[in-house]
Amino acid sequence: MPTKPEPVVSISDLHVDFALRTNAVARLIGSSSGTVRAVDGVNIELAAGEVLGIVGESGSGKSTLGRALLGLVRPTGGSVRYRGQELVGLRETQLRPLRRKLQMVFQDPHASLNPSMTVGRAISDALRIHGLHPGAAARAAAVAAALERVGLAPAARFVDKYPGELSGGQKQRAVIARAIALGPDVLVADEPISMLDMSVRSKILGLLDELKRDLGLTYVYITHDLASARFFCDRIAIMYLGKIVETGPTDEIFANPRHPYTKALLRAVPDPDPSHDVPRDLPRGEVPDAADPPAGCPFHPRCPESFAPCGWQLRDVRMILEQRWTTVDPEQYTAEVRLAGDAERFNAPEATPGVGVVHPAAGRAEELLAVLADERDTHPEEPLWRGVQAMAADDRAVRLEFVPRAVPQLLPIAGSDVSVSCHLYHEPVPDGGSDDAGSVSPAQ
Amino acid sequence: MSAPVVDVRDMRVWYAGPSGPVQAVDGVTFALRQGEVLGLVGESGSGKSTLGRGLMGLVPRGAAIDGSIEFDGRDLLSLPKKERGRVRGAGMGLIFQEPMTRLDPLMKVSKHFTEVLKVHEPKLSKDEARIRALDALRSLGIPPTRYDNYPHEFSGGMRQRIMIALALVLRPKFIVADEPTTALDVLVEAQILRILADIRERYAPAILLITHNLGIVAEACDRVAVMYAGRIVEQGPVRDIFATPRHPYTRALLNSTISLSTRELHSIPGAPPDLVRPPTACRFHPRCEHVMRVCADVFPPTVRVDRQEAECWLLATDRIDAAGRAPLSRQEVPVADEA
Repeated sequence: MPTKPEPVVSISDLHVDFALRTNAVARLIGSSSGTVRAVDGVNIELAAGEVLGIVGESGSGKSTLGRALLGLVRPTGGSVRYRGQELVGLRETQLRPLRRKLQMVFQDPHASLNPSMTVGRAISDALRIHGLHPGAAARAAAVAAALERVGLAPAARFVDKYPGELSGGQKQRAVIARAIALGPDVLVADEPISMLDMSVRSKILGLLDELKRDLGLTYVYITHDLASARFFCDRIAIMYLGKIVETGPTDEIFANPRHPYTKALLRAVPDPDPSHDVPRDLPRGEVPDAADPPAGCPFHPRCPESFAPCGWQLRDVRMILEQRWTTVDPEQYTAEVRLAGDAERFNAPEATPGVGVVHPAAGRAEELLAVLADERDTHPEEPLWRGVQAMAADDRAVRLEFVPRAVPQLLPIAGSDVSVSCHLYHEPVPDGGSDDAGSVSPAQ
Repeated sequence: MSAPVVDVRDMRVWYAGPSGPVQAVDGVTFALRQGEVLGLVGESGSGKSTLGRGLMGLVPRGAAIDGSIEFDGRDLLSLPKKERGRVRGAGMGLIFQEPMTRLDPLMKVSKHFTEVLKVHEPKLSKDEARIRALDALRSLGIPPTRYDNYPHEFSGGMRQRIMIALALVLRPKFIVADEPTTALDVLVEAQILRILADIRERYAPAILLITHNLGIVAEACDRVAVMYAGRIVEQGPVRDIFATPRHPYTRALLNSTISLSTRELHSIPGAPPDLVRPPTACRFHPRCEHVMRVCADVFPPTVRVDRQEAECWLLATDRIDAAGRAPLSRQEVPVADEA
């Protein structure tokens, strides 16, 4: 690449934590029972005129990242710079003039518009707040121009309409009109088409594409839909549990996905071509609780390609046992469930790092060990066993020693523009017992 | 060929709307055989969900339903109400889009199962019921350790599995799945689709899969019926219809879908019609690029082409006179009305 132009937005090591509050008393006194790391150390640069796609499932932190970019949520750490100016730590009054330049389109157009305010009023209020086009006549002209620009033409037909009188697509057009009326530089579009009907989606996506070219906008397109991301974005960042796991040019990511999560997502998209078969090798389970993320690589328990250093821990053993109990016959699982006891025993924190200790029903550690050994012999291909160095029982407990864990870092792949956070591509660097983000459960 | 499990003829459902009666389902005819999955696609307001619920007898108060719904050789609509409910309850299962709104938050999962089994299979002993329930859950990957948990203790995908297990525990011959994966993430959606495929292999029920996602139809269905404004405008084998759609709406819908291979955006001009005052004759004619005089005047015939059936004059041009064949300009719609 020749000389690198100054990025429009540059985000570095961004963290957004949310405090968890469990009950009304905790809420009142402001105490918290843990935190959710919604965005966990994200670095992104946004070049002028590009469309950056932030792709992830629910709970991946993609929306929080978009909001943090506009100063709509307060980051816990890191920096967000817009054309060189730091946004983190600014007061609301200092942020306001910048908001004109950084606009947002949300998923639900109905919730983005005040139901008791006409479309025209919604746009002219935004102009008035930002002191644009002073004078009623000038403002009205600007409102009409914005409406017609998004296809709500003739503007006179729509300016006095309430959101309730518009269809879903028309409402989303009105929301976009309000955003572009302010003359923004960057538009963050959070799932702008996912609530719309199939035949309307392509119209709104087409409109966004047109506006980008005509108005010279830079987009952040947040979505869970890989198909529209592929069509619309120049660059893509795939997020999982608050972290970017893979990022690079759209074409390269789709042609050669590297992270097992990206590969899984691509395989899972239902393809409207009946000659393709349903994929059989899907990741198991679902996105885990963000308040208590897995150790090591957050994707490891579900990953079909995981191996020894990926972050295996005691609670993964519980997952394996529960999987086992869906297949063995009823007498056997009844006996084994009784033996293993309360599943919560597998969530015990590690007293010695890398060593999981589980206390089964009194004096039956040997039996539980036998069950685990049987499971290992039945399913030697299970990646968890590669992460178990040793397994032993004394009279009270079963001890499992895990391979030293490592948190993968987002690092470039040589000879490409892609960065991936996965041990398959970069030598794992073990945590060394440090108090790392992934290895300690904040909910304890 | 075996007799169909479900045979629906000229079914109609209408209900009261704020500005007059809404003709949500307007004369649909289709059949489903054992082990077959029929995808019902359409945009919001096409009547696909009303059709699915109508089959189960779940229409809103004040709605009227007409035509014939034959299930397992019996015409449901002519049965006495009580008998109808019994036949449906035991033989037909329903899977909803939002499992959390269908599971009672104050009831353990185990209780959901015992209640259902107690009502429909009263002869089952407590232990037998427990084993049946655990088997249904296990076959969907829910470990028995979770049997006594409450619905909120499960993730979205697990809840949908529980819903499916609840529908399966009575071993129904016919299942209506109404957007079963719409609220779920991509990977979980794919898992649920795989489960549906496994269910077909194991129990071979007839499944009506209602969805707006053509990708899901392509992956999970044998046949597809395309709904537009209360009518099935085209139906046939999925492969045939995706390869050679015969109805202009089917073609436009396939074209406007954004998939991984989309390189250019296409859309359908105009918006779906108001079902209180639908367009005359062919419901799609104001948006159709091939519209002719006859399309606005006479209801189009259902024409069979190979294994497909479509309701369109373009397939029966020999039955139209010269005046009827005259092209009609497509209704000019401002961009604004399109969405």
